[in-house]
Amino acid sequence: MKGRLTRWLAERVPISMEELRRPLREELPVHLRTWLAWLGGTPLMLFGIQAATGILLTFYYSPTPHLAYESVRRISTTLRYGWLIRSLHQTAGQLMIVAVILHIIRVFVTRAYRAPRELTWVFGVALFLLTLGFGFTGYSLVYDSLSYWATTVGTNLVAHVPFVGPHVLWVLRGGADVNPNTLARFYNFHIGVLPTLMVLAVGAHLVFVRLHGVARLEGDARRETYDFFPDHVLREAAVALVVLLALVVHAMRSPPGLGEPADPNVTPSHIRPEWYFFPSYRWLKMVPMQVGIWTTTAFVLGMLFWPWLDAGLERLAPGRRLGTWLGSAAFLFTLVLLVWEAVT
Amino acid sequence: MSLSMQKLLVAVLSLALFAALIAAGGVDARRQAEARKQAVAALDAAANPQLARGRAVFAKYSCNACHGPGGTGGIMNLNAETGGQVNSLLRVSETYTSAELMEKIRTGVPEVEKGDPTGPSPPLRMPAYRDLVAGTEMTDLVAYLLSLRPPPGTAKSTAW
Amino acid sequence: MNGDPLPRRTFLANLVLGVASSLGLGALGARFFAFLSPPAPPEREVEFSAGPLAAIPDGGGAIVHLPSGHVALERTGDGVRAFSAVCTHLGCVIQWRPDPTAAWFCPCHRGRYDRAGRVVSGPPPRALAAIPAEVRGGEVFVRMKLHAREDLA
Repeated sequence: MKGRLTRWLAERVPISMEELRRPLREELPVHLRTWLAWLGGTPLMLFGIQAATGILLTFYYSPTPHLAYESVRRISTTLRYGWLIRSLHQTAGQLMIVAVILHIIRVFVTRAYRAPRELTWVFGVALFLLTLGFGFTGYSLVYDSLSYWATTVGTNLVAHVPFVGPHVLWVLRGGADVNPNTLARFYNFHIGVLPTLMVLAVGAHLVFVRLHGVARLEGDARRETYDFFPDHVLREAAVALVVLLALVVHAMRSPPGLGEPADPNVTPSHIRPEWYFFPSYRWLKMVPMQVGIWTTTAFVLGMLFWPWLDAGLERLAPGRRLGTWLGSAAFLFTLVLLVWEAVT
Repeated sequence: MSLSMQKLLVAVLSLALFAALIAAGGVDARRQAEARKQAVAALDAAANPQLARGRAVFAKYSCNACHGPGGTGGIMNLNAETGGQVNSLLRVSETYTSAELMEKIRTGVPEVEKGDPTGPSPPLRMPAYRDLVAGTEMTDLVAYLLSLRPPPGTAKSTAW
Repeated sequence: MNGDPLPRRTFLANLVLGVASSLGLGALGARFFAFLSPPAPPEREVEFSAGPLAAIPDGGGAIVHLPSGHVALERTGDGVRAFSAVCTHLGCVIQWRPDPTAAWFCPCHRGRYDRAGRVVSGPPPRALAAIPAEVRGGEVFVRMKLHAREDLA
């Protein structure tokens, strides 16, 4: 009986068990066992949590200005475990940004972006920008006072980009001011466009990681390996469970709240974007708008093409590690701006 | 860390997650109870918003001071024809039309009928609310009063 | 993977792992499923005004739409009978369409009911649900269950 079933399956799905088992038996180099290497998988785990909780939330969320706030309120109070799902979604979102930043720091410090891994880095920066995009669009959906005005101010910045700014803003908002089109658009970005781009970018990023292997720390010449299954899988599972546990406990201790409903006529006195936008928020308050726009663009481009920038600096002054100095300074500067904005 | 230890770690973490989610069930039950209470209150008001408004008017003009909470009566009015007490309002719907009730509230009862004609005049009288209650307040109040019902199984009160 | 039977320690470890992870992930899944099932809203039995008696022709019928549902009213003289206007077949709202044999008509599958709400012809399996009704002061009142609405507006 079992023989017949196996034969039936083998005829229709012509992959041998041997081929299927091969990825499980893959040997991974031991330098993957360090905690630094964990920082790569964590954003993906958190994205998984976001996708699952996000899909659940779409069963009840209503992306029209009239009903958005009330639907979020209903999720947070009336529905079974709505508070848990919403809290997981909010917190995992914030954690994902932190995890991505930590991963970027790890890759930067270990200089893993150098040839031949430049493209991995480029897709990585794209992933970082997409994550920020998720944060921004997601925050706009709550439609309470802070959310509405943070979105208004955030999108208004786009208008200041030279030449294309106003046109991009018109399309971004679907009209003149923040209107029903805007919410529908941001919702679509959040659940449609960005997830699609994210999946594609994650795919590309992982393909390149697999092709080149995870970079070793300089001087690490160990040749030992360990099993993907069950060893590595168990490690990943342990990390994922710790994250999940932390999220659930946090949800119970501080359930998600809701501010006042959005009032297009009244701007609250303390309007601020989410913490991950504090650095640019602070910067734009310090310098003229055009200077701010150009420097921010330069910063993003610098991040995107960092491997080549770093290589150029290395050629300029071999062994002086100018790239490391520059990158560290840029990061510290961003951190200072963030903390400054946070405490004032 | 040996393989068995790793499996044990994942097992322990899974059980911890399980425990946390059970605890979350308790948290959720509490929140559900809260939300349900609010939903019930909203339902009562939604069932008839006019009645909720009328109830508010009743409270605003302190009708309960003489007619008892929710119009149930029980306030003493010596020698009043209505059983020595200010009459309850639970059966007004049986004897008044809305127009008659409105008129009663407007004119009040300047002199309450004596139970014993030789006895003292009842001290409590109903003021004329003509100048205080009007418009939608009046219609809401009357709708509320006409919706009052005695609890099931009570004897018919004296007609008055 | 060779064909040797697993040592007992490994088997036990696998078992513990299997049970524990099933419990953990199962609980998570259960919470997610519970989320998808909205709690049943509270109900109240409420008396509603179904409008003036005069609005229903004597010997005739009318459909009224109340917050608690659709009501079919049938008048004879000064008395009124009320039924749920939801067809017992598949839930369409019936109409007053008198003919020699019937009084109420369901347009979806041509079900027909008589004045007392009993099925005359067509697919409906049961008579129309009766609703307590009375006339007071020229106005028709019905007692129905109202539940808190799910819609947000």
